[in-house]
Amino acid sequence: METEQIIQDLNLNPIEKGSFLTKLKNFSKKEKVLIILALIVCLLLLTLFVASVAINKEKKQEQIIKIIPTPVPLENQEKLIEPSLYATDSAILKIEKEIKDTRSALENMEHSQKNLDIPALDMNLDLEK
Amino acid sequence: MKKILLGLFISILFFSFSASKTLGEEVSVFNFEKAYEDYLYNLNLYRDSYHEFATAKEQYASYKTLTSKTLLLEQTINMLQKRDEALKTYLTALRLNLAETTGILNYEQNLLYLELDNQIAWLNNHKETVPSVASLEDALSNAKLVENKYPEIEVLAYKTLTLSAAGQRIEILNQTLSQIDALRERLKDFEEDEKFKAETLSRWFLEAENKTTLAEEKLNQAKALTNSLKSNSRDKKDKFLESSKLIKEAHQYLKEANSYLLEAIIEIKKKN
Repeated sequence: METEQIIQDLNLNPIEKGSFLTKLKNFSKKEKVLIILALIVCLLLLTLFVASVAINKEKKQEQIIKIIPTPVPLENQEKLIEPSLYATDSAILKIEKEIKDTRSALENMEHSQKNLDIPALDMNLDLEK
Repeated sequence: MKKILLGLFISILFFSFSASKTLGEEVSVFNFEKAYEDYLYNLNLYRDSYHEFATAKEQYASYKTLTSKTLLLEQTINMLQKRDEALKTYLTALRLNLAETTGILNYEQNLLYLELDNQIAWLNNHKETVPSVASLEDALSNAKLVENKYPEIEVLAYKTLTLSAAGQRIEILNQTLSQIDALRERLKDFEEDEKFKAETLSRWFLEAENKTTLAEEKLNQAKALTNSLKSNSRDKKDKFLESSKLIKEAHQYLKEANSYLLEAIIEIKKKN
């Protein structure tokens, strides 16, 4: 008898199938409308979140492209400018070459400097120590 | 007989010509690059000899034997000779660097040549006296001679380095000024053209000229600073570093002047 009682106690709360649907049927019209509205709002928020993530990704890609500018050499930039009457003047071109040579000389001076500092030589023999 | 004499004369002429040519080539090859390599080589020899000297000194301090004393004397003589040679080749490299630098006034250059030659000759003489050293006491007094001379060599090196560096910039400064003059001269022909931007360009030239003036001031200050150095002054190194800083500032001004001229060229070549 005691063992039967224990078995009955264990099966006290059997799982009720379809309890949510039966509860939904019991809801009033107002409550049903509210639940549907809440679901729609949730869906909208989810759509907005997904859309914002997608836009951010695109923006990041655009930013990466902006960081790496296409290198345009100075010579090409000069070519893009509409030339004046004096652009091909031989004297001007000669002076331009001289100015560019001076620039190279200035830059070479910075890079090809040899170490001519006074050598560190030990002057004090100190033979007593 | 006449033929033999003529043949002999021609052969002597030929040999003397070829010999003089070869000697001339050898002299012309010894430039700053070669002198600098020579200096680095001798500096390494000095470092090796100093290392050997230091080892011998330690051995003598530990054992105090006659053998270790003899070895120390030998290593001291060797090291002293290598030290003289390192200093001598250093001053030679400085001399050739100065010789290859344009933009230095002749009297300034000659004055330093004289001082450098004197110091090189002194070191040469000193190197020859070193082998005659017979004891460690002699070696000490012999080494003391270079030690006393060293501050003079230091000041000379600072002066030469400053003058070489300033001379290089003065050359650039002169080039810049002549480029401004050449541009002004050429643009006189263009002034009739109404569209031509004479005002803008003259402003660029004026700015470039101002930068060269500032550069010249800095270079003169640097030279004056190192010329004021005395062998007994304690702040030699600091003053030299200060003058190097002034030369760097002058260099920057020259770069700016050069940029203005490049801008002016772009402006000239560009249509309104």
